[in-house]
Amino acid sequence: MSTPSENSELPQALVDDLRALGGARAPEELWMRVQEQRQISALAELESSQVVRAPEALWDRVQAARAARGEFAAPRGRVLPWKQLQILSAAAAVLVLGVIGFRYLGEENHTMVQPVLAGATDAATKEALRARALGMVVTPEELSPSARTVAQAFGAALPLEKRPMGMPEEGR
Amino acid sequence: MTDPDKQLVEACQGSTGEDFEEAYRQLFALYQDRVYSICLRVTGNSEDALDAAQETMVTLARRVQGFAFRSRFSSWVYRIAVNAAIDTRRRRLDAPRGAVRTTFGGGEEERQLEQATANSVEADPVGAASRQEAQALLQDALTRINPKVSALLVLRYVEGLSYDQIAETLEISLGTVKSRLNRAHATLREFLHHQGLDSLDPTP
Repeated sequence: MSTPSENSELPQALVDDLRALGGARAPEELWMRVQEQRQISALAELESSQVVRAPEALWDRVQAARAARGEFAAPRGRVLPWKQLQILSAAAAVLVLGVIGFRYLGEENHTMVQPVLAGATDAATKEALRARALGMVVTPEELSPSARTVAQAFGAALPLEKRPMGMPEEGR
Repeated sequence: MTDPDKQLVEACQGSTGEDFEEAYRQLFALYQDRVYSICLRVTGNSEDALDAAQETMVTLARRVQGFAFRSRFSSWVYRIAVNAAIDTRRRRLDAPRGAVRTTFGGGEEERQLEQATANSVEADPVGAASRQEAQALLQDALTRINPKVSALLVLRYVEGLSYDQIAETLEISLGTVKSRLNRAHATLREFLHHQGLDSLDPTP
């Protein structure tokens, strides 16, 4: 407890008045309230420790039961579980974004190349710029048999190469 | 130094079920008035004091098992009570304006506080103030100054804790206790002067 020297900063009358504020008695209600709060906390802890996850088949069963009661038309074929639907939706979203992204990049490249060529006035400069390009125009005759096959696979209309069956390709 | 509450606290720590409840009830009986008193003086009204005291006692029940006697048990309980009371007062201040209680309601003590507050705005508020009114005015002052400052004054003067025990309760050094108390005295005097209550503080 305090010693007299420790009280020297405030006048004694003020200290006495402050001391007189002590000695309040807790109301009877406090015990009841504390016990009630403890019980609520204990119940909450019990509930949180007993949380269980519903099986994934629950969604299918609920939907089937609702369909059986005629709440909505039963879907044809198998109803995908919610988790699979989520995965498929995410994959579709990624695909759409990918396509949009590629288109955007393609347009960007196009706009990058055009001004360069447009600025070239003489044939020599244009030729020099074309030489630096990644793509170039070739005639069907310049393509190797493999390249012709690939080009045809991408839809290019090329004259068929007449070659007897079993003959090795040129250069092999 | 042996903690005077060690035996009772250990009875709580070494028991479960009914035995724990019995030991806890004894601890509760030992501290309920002190805890409520601190909460009442810091919050300034019985409703908030009851909320803060309840929070303190629930925390005590929940955490007594882990108390490691690194300080006196009483200091630990006071610390919880002070923090709960300060938090309650702050919540009250942060509450929407309509939710802030501007009048005291209910018990006899609050009626006295209300009367004392009304008197303080009269022409000669404390000239005829009784001792009881002076205390009510002091309580009003404690409620209006910074809650940390009022908590310090309550621990020191209302509960009569030594500097050493205040340091342990608030987990600050002895030097910090002294400097903070000096500032708390200045704050209280300034408040009383500002409110025209110099007669409560006769120091020139």
